[in-house]
Amino acid sequence: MSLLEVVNTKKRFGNLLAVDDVSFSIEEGEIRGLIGPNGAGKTTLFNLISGFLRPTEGKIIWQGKDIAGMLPNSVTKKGIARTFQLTTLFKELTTLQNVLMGYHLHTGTGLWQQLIRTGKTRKKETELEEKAVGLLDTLGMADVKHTLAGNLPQGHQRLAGLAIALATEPRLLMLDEPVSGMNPTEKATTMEIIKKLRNSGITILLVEHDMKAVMSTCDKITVMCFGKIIAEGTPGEVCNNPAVIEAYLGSGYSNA
Amino acid sequence: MQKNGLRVAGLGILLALLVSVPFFAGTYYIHIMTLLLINIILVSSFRLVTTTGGWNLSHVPLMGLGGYTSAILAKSFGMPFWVTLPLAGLGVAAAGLVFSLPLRRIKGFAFFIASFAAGEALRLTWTRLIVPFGGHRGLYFIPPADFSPFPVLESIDFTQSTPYYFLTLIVTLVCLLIMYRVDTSRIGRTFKALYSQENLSKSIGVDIPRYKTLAFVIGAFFAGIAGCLYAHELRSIDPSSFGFTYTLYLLVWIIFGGAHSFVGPIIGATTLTIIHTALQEVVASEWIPLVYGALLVVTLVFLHGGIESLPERFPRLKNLETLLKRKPSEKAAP
Repeated sequence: MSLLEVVNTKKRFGNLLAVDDVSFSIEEGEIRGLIGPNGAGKTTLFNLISGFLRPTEGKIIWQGKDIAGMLPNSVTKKGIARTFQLTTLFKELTTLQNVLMGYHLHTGTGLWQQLIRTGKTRKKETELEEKAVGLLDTLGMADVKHTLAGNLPQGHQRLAGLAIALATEPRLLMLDEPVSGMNPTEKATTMEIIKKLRNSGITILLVEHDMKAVMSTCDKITVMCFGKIIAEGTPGEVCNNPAVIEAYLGSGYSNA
Repeated sequence: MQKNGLRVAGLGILLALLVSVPFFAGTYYIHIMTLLLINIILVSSFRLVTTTGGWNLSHVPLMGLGGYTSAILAKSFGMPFWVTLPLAGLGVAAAGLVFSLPLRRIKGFAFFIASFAAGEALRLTWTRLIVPFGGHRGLYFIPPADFSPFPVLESIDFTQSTPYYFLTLIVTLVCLLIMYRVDTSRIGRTFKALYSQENLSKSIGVDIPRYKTLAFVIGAFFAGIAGCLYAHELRSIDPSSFGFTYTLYLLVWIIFGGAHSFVGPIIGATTLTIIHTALQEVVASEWIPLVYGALLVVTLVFLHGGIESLPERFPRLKNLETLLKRKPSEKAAP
């Protein structure tokens, strides 16, 4: 059984079919790339899976159960985390506090627990803080943990977004352009981190425009164009697929 | 550590000042101080709701509901104050729960209008129902705070302004302590997070409607407490006591003081109460709303963010703060 299965999913905005009858599935433990020209419907598909949008038609099956139309917080609870295309952080909090917010589902947040603050609650908080510091350490951000997130350089902000998503302890991590705005060194490091995450057991779905990053990291790539899936396969297969070349460069180049 | 020390010292002086009020002030000023403390609970609980994004214009009517609840329980059922106070809080919290169910779905300007309408609807029920709310004339001869059957407390005469002032002071301090705790806890951080980054909050699993309701209910609880204290201080209440004028004052306090920090609204309410009381000595009271209006405009134009934003605006003030915190030996260094 696939980890995630998108079955005949459609999303209509007025007259526009942003996602047109899309079906694909992701196996546990793979790094899947989702590429396509601008406006292909990749982000819409992301929002459909993560619950930010409700599909007009179709099913989204997570570990055997349909989660289409579920609210984002419930989807996260099921073990699917996502990052955002535009850097989205709690800018007024420090990096460490940002990650701690990410542990929302793993803390005792009851009103009485928070007001009385028993030894147990405090112990739990210390544990989480240690965990958060460990997480930042693996991302190479230990020395900026007390910096306000809004003051971090762009590359670090992208990583902080990733750290928050990781704090929810997901089984599937969906990354929306994780290396945009990074310099080549940061890009390489981030792609290494993504591979490491996969090796630690997290399945990854990533939307990315940086072809070098996608080709070198993904096991399998799904290509979208005008809301439809036009190709799927290993990086090598996708690169030589005439439909893909046409989608990116326009007709007339496929025979060249 | 030094910063903490300074804070503790500051709070100590403030507390000593508050405790000493009845020893140098006349009855009238003690009454003003009691009302100020009640308004501090009101404005702080109002701010707690604003941290999730909405400026709840039904807050004052909810406070009134607390007053009515306690007054009716004391008057018609002979319940002592120590029972009616928490019941007023809980009753209003329950009303807040009902209010929040539709209100939590609305944002921005629509939230103002809807919460205002909800508050007015509440006020209209009091004017319409003679039993038990007394209609337009409201309720009077509300019994003074009564602590039977506790031996020593029972004998205190809470019709006197000084004992009631101390009672209010204690209740206020407890309320502020709890609200401060909520504000600085994980819950308070989640309130601010869901407001500043709604989508990110959803993506980390925050159940936004649930947290909005929680903030609203906690805010309503403390509004109810404030209303109960108010009813037993004035000993008579009517629907117009909790009308839109009161809400306007509340808004001016919080805009003038700033809503970003915990102390901002408290500073706002205190400063304006002092200005108000001082003005009453020199001008006819009809002029005072004009002064409030002018202050509101001046704050919004020149000091957006209120008094609490002053240290940020004037780095010199901040330097002064750090200078005070430094050890004397460091001051000499360039």
